[in-house]
Order: sequence, then C-alpha cells, then structure tokens
Amino acid sequence: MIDIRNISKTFIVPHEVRALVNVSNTVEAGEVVVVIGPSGSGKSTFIRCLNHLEVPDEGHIYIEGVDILDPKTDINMIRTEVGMVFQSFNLFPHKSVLENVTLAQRVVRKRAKDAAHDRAMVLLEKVGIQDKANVYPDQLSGGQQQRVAIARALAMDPKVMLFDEPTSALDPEMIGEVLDVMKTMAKEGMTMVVVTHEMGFAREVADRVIFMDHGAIVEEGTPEHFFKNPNHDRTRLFLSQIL
Amino acid sequence: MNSALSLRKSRQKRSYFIWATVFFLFLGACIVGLYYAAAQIDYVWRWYRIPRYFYYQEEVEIKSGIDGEVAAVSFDGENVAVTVAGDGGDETYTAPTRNAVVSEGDMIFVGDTLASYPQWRVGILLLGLWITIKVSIIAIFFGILIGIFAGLARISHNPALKWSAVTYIELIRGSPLLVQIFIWYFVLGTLVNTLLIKQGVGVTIPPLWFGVAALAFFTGAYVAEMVRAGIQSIHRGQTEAARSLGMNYVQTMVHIILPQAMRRIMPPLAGQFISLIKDSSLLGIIAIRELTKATREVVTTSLQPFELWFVCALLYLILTFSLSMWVQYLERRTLAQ
Ligand SMILES: Nc1ncnc2c1ncn2[C@@H]1O[C@H](COP(=O)(O)OP(=O)(O)O)[C@@H](O)[C@H]1O
Ligand SMILES: [Mg+2]
Repeated sequence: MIDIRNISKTFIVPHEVRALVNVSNTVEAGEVVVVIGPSGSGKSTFIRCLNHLEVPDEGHIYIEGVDILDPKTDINMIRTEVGMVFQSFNLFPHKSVLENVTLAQRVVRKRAKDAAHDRAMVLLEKVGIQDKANVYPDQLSGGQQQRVAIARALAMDPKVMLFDEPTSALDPEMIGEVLDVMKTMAKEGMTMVVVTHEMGFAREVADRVIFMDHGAIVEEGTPEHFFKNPNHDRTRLFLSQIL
Repeated sequence: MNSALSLRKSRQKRSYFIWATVFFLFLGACIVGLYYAAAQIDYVWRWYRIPRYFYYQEEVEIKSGIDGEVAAVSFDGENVAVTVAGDGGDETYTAPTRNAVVSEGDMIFVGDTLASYPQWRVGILLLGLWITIKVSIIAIFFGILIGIFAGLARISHNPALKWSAVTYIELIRGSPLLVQIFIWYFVLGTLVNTLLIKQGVGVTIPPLWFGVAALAFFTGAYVAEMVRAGIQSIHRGQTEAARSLGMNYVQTMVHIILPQAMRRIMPPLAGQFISLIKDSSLLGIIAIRELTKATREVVTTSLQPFELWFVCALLYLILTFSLSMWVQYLERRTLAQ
C-alpha cells in the first residue's frame, strides 16, 4: 500500500539537521504500524513525508503504486486518500464542528450538501460527538477536538490514516477516549501509521512497531518482539525510559 | 483601616470631578474665545443659513407653452388644472398646488407662469457628503481586493509576484497621496482619455474614477501589509490541516486562512477605512465635488466660512465616529461568538 524507498531529508535552516537518513519501509493494506523513538529522531518528518507535507530530498514514496514525489502526480488527489491527524488537532476555529467535517467533502470531494452532512453525522456519531455538531471547536475539550479531527479526516474516506502523536497534547484523562476511537478504526481494518508514546496502544493493536533514532529505522518487529526481547541496545534504553 | 480606604475613595472621586470640571471649563473657554475673537473682527454668525445647504425649497413654476386665454381653473383635491384656450386648440396644465397665479379670462403669452409650487431639493453639502461616502465605499472595496491580492503576492515564493508586490507597496507608501492623485488624473487620466478619443470611442472616463482608483490603490498597499501580517499570524497547522485534506492553495486560502486573517485584521482595516474617508477630501483638487470641495463652493457664495467649515468637520466626524462604533459592535459580536 505504501512503499517507502531510501528517503532522506536534511533541514538546512536554522541549522543543518539530517532528519531522515535513507529510510525504507513497506506498509501493507490493513496494517497498523506504530512508530516510536526519542524526540527529534525524525518520526514526524517521516510520517509527514507520506502525505507530502514534507518533501524528501532523495528517494521514492509509492502509495498504491503512484509515485507521490513525481511532479506530475496530483498531490491533492493523493492527500484525499491519506488522512492525517495532528498532535495539536488543528481544527478550523471559525467553523462549527459539523462544518469542520463537511468542508473538505464539499470543496474537494464535491459532495452534495445533504450527502456531506449525512456522512459527517455518521462519523461524528462514530467518534461520539454527534450532540456537539453545531458548537465551535473552542467549546470542546482536547479529547473531543481530537475526535472531531479524526472524523474530519475520515470524511474523505481515506485508505490510510496517519497519526502524529495524537494524544501527546491531551490531559491524561482524555487519552483513553481518543485511543478507543483509534482502536475501533484499527479493528475495522483501516491502514494506520501511528507515531505515539502510548505503549499500551502499540501492544494492543499494532501489527508492527518501528523504532527510529537519529533519522533512521533502528529496529522493527512485532509488539511481542519489542517488549520482550529487543535486539538493539538503543531500543532497550528507550523502552526502559518510557515504560 | 476601612475608614481610611473609604476616605481615599472619596478623595479619588472628588479629584475626578474637579478634573472633569476643568475639562469642561477648558472646552467652554475655547468656544467662548473663538466667539470673542470672531466678534473682534465683526464676524456675524448666521447658523440659520446653514440648513439650506442640506435641503432647500425651490419654487417650481408651471409655464404656458402657448398664447391664449385662461379658459378654466379647476381644483381637484390638492391639484390645480389650468386650461388655456389658444388659436391652435386648448392646452391643460396641472400642478400639485392650490395656488394658481392666474384666473379665468386672463390673457396668456408663451412663457407666462400659470401656477407655482414649492419643492424640496437636496442641497450641495448633502450631495458632497454622498459623493464622499460613495467614493470611500467603492475605494475601500477595491482597496481590500487589491490588498488581498498584493498581500498574497507579497508572501508568494514566485519572484515575479513577490517583487511586483514589494515594488507596488513601497512606491505607494513612499509617496504623498496628493502626488498620486495628480499622477492618476493628469498623467494616467490624460493618457487614457486621449487614447480613448483617438480610438474613436465616444466616451471618456470622468475624473471621479481616477480619484477612486488613486484612493483604492493607495489603500490597497496598506491593506496588503495588513493581509500579509494577518496571514502570517495564522498558525501553520491550519494550512497543513487544510492541505492534508486535499484542499489546494486557493481553497485553503479562501475557506481557511483568509476568513481567520480578515477577522484578525478587522480593527486596523477599520482604521484604514477611516483614513480613507478623510483622505478623500483631497479629491476636490481634481474637480470631484466631495464634501470638502462642496463646502469650499458654498463658502464662496454664502460668505459664512466659519459655520461651514465647522459643519464640514462635524460631518466627517459623524462618518468616522459611526464607522468606528459599528466596527466595535462587530468585534464584540464576533468575540461573543
Ligand atoms: N521544518 C523544520 N525545519 C528545520 N528543522 C526541522 C524541521 N522539522 C524538523 N526539524 C528537525 O528535524 C529533526 C527531526 O524532527 P522531527 O521529525 O520533528 O522529530 P520527532 O517527531 O521524532 O520529534 C529535529 O532535529 C528537528 O529539529
Ligand atoms: Mg514529532
């Protein structure tokens, strides 16, 4: 489904950082991949490359066989297939919850008003926010905002969902409600790439865990492998710090 | 402790009233001083003459178109009908008045007045005020449009767009509006209108539109800087969220970034609009009869310059003040939301 071949990315401003160094990986359809690693290890850069929010300097990324780094590729088309959920929610503050979920359906997918509305209500019900459809984001808790953000991404009917530390900005008591929504999606067969520090989530739903450090994939494997006997010293050190 | 506090409070209150009184005394002294100085040069204030420049009554006269004799004067409600019998037949004139100045049997020649009635007309000051409002509204509308495009071009990565925007903004902000108005009218206006005539197009563009263009482009440069700052103040995550949903640059700008940026730049934008209303007073120099020019014309005929210039200033004040009130109301409403 996603084929990542030898991507590298170096930031030059404000100072030179090799954020990704020759990273390759393959994500199968229906797979749930959890990416872990210390802060600054390149997890965000990696996941943002998958929907072209960052552009690698080298390498190739194929999504369902389409080379998304080819200048001829319609990147907006690709992005409708690849949903993204951010650490800071990034809901549109000037739009109601419902409008947040219908807007892209209307202007990108060109759905009729009623169809977009119905789809939005189904998704809001799925994430448990249907009774807040007409309020504005700033009236919601962090957990509720993140669930709306998930519904907003799902409204495009993506084939893959990317999550960049979706619970890191949340108060502890709200983490569970967001993770529950994500677990449901995983069980329904959504292809997911999730950057997170929630090891419980990784253990429960991940098919594969990737450990990154200094812009490279250090180790990858099943959750059992990771939590019982990781190969690498750096992996062990990292896990011992966060578990 | 408690009494000391209340004592301090009452003292504060007293000094507040004292200084308020000082303010009103000062204001009164200014007005009295002005009247006194005017009296010294034998200026006669005639405020009662001012209203006629807003609204006045004009006597409309109904005149006969033929020679003849008044055959009948008949009243029908509030209207009068005068029938003149001439050699070539009868002719009937009606007027909305009970005041016919002729009676049956009178000899009438062409051009004689048969009846007259008063009619209200809009005075020159009110016309000038209207032009000022009209010019300002059109100019702010186009100014905002130009400002949005120039602001977007200013932050674009395309050198042609970016440098064009920078050049435009710097040229406009670096030269006096008066000079820009002259350039629009005497240079561009002459060019355009002469070319139009040469091409055999029967119409030329009136000065008003060159004035509007000067104001719109002037305002646009300032709005562009506000738009740029407004857009840059919106968190990058908003663009990323919109783009990650598949929205293109234009959709992201139109639906996500600009609405938030415009809301944020409302206060400086209103300030710009207020400046624009005041700056429109310069348009008089290219023969646009806005409020200031209208006042100047009335002054030369009425010889009441003191009253008229105060009235003129007051009218501008009313415009700008009500605008800032309205904007405050809008701001409070969006905040409440
Ligand atoms: N837009 C950027 N400009 C400059 N440096 C960046 C940018 N984004 C990330 N970096 C740098 O790249 C490295 C990897 O960052 P990131 O991918 O955000 O790591 P992680 O998400 O694992 O914490 C860090 O050193 C970070 O400072
Ligand atoms: Mg990160």
